[in-house]
Amino acid sequence: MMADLLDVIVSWRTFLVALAVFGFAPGALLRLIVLAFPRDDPRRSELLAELHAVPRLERPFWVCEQLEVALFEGVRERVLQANTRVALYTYVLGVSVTGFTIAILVTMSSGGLRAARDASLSFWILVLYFVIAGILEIRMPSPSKERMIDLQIIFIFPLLLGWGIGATMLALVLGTLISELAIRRSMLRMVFNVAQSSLALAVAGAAYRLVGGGFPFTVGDLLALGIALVAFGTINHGLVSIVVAIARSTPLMAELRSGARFMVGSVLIPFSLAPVVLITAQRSIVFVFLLCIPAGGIYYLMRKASDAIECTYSARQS
Amino acid sequence: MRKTHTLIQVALALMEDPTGRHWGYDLSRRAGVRSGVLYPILHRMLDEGWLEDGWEDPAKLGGKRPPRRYYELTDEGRIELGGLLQEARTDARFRSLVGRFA
Repeated sequence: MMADLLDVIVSWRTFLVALAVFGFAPGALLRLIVLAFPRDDPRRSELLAELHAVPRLERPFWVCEQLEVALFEGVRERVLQANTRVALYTYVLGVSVTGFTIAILVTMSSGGLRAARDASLSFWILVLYFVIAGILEIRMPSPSKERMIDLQIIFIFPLLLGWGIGATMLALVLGTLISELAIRRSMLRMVFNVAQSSLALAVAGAAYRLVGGGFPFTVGDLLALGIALVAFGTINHGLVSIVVAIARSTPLMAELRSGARFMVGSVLIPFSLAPVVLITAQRSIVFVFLLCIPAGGIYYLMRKASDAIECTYSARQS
Repeated sequence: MRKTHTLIQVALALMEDPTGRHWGYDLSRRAGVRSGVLYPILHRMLDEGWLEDGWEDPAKLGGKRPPRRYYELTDEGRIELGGLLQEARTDARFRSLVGRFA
């Protein structure tokens, strides 16, 4: 009896089973289990590394415990991520379809094609500046998230005030597409950005007319311009905040609040510059070329400010 | 975070060495909590900013095993968990649990 028992203990079969159960099987099984976590979840590497800290005899039981973790935590996380993706794509698709439809309707109903065809060279130079401003985007670092300074708004409002909503909408769609292609933005983001800007411009144009803004632009239309700019900034900020809130699963109100001050600040520059750019562009083509000097100055200063803020954050972190 | 027995157990294990590094398996043993319960708690503490995580430097390991993830209490975490354990001492539900470690 004792001899049989000893035979079993020292047999090759028992040795191989023990090797499998306490040797490579836990690791192999754990590698399968961690696949339940999303690809970017640090728990994948963490559990695999942690296995090395577990005594060999405990490993099979510990690995079985991880199956519970993976099923409840990993699968739930994957379902949440899938839901977020569906919500995000649905929203982006909705905004894109609405934005492009509005852009086409506004351009067609306002005679945008004809206005753009008959527009002076100044109009097209301002469109060129709009494209360049889109390419030379400025990232402004902040403790919570990075923000983009939109210098394109400096040029889009003079176009609106000088050549009307139809031609401006056409310029905005074409200009945004070109600048987004130049910086190799992903297709999804490019389509969304064009649609988002189109919606914001359509609302801004409607707000300008609703509060009595007229063409040609006069001093009396300054209040209407201010309201149109706030409408543009609000729609832009709102549409982007919804994307961020869905993608990060954060409360929408927090996202809206976090960038509201920045949005108001970014509206002040075009409010003061739009009339100046418009009058300059309408006076002489030479002046339009000269505009690139103050515009370049603003870009340079903003860039320097962005670099300085980034250095401050890096210094604080280190 | 809702005060539960497991949260108090994890808090006690973390506060045994408030400035040190803590590892998943070791923490679950010291706290007496299954890893299926421990990791969600650690996850919530990370979200709250009570903990911060990091990875061992692979250069120092010499390729013998993969780098492990560690958890460290933040200043906020030490204050929050200290307060939590203080409250637990006066709470009849947790007194025996906290008393053992006091």
